[in-house]
Amino acid sequence: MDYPKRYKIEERIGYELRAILILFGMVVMQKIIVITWIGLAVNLVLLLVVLRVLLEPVTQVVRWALYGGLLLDVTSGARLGVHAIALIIAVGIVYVLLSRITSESWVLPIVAVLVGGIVYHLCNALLLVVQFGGYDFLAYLTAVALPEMLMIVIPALPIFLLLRWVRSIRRGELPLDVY
Amino acid sequence: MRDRSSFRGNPGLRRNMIVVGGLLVAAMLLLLLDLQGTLTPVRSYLTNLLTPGLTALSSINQRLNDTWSGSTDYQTLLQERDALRKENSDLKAQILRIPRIEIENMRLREQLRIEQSNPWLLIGANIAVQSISDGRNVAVVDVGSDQKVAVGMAVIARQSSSPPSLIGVVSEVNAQSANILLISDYSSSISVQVYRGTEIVRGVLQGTINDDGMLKMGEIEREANIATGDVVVTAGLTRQYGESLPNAYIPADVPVGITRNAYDEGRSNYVDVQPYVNPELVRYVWIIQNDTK
Repeated sequence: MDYPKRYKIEERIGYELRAILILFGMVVMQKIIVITWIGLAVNLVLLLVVLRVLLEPVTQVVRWALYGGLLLDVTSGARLGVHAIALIIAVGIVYVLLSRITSESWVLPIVAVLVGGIVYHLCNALLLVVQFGGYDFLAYLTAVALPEMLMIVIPALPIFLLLRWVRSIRRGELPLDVY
Repeated sequence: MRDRSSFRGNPGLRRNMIVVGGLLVAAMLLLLLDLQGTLTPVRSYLTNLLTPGLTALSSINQRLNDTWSGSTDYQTLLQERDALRKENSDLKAQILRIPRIEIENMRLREQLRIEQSNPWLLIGANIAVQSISDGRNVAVVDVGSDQKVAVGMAVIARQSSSPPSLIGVVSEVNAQSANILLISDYSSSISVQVYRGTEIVRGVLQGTINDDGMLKMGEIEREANIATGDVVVTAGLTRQYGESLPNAYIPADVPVGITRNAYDEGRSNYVDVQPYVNPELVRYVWIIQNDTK
């Protein structure tokens, strides 16, 4: 069992600022770079938080979801909280359903991204209705939700392995599995 | 070493869910306050803070992308060159090489040409961020209330040989930036008309959630006759009902697109409209500040 380590306030602030900077970089990648070079929308922030909740404490990842969501709101002209709500719920559901499964499983990140993507788009679709009224849900599913989910499922496994490798380096673990 | 860190016991679950729930409530509170307008100044400040940097990054990224596409796809470059020759090849071919000031100069000349042939007073703007995801089609530009941009102003753009055409409407204004609701967004709704000889057919143009690039013109009279290829322009009807209404700034007769497929849904007539300009491909726009100069 992990025992929470006590951190100084300046360390905590430094950590949160670093998280915001990393997420800002992700938002710039998502909103400006990826869409220009690939021509498709790839929700990198959703991908990152959903995969991280499989590896890191949920209390930490859910803060990333809040910061990332607010940055997405500010950069895309949306109301504050719209993206954050969808991301936090996606992280929460993935945590409840999948966090007990070992992060060794290679199917886990794909399932997590699918579950996270479904929850995120369900929340987003409902928030759109709340803000702007009803629309064609089937069109939303086929033109928005499915393509965007497909675009995050493809890189899910390599990015998960990368995140796991970074975590093992940070913890000083050996980069090999002994069975 | 087998990773066991993700096995979490129940004792922590409750505490973790309280944290998740707490942050969710915080996000919902933010949304509620923003919908009420309490947090609008904060959001405006943050958008203003980020927009210059994002515009610069967007510009650098676009130039890199242009350079990369040009150097890797020689065949496309040749085709593009031939197409450009038919129009104003010498001018457009220089765009990749000339410095930024000359690009601005060219944009201003184009703006002047548009202003000379239309009764419009324009404000040029760079698109800082285009958000074409999650079912929304919105953009952020680098001009705002400091440049006398107001909510409801029409936003136009040009693409290759298209006429200057409507691509969206200013939906929110900050000091140094503004949000544009693109005509392809499903919540966009604009009064339009089609000239058929001596007859004027009016309707409401709406964006759709589909990504086929088509817009949907509805609220058309049952007896109205619209043919494929008819030109759709703005009707500017909102202004007639009151200057203070949303979209009252949109002038009449701004080109939007051409009609494609007419069909019935229940008792209503609809027409698919192909916009002249694909709003998703636009990087520079003009905002119609005034149409009675």
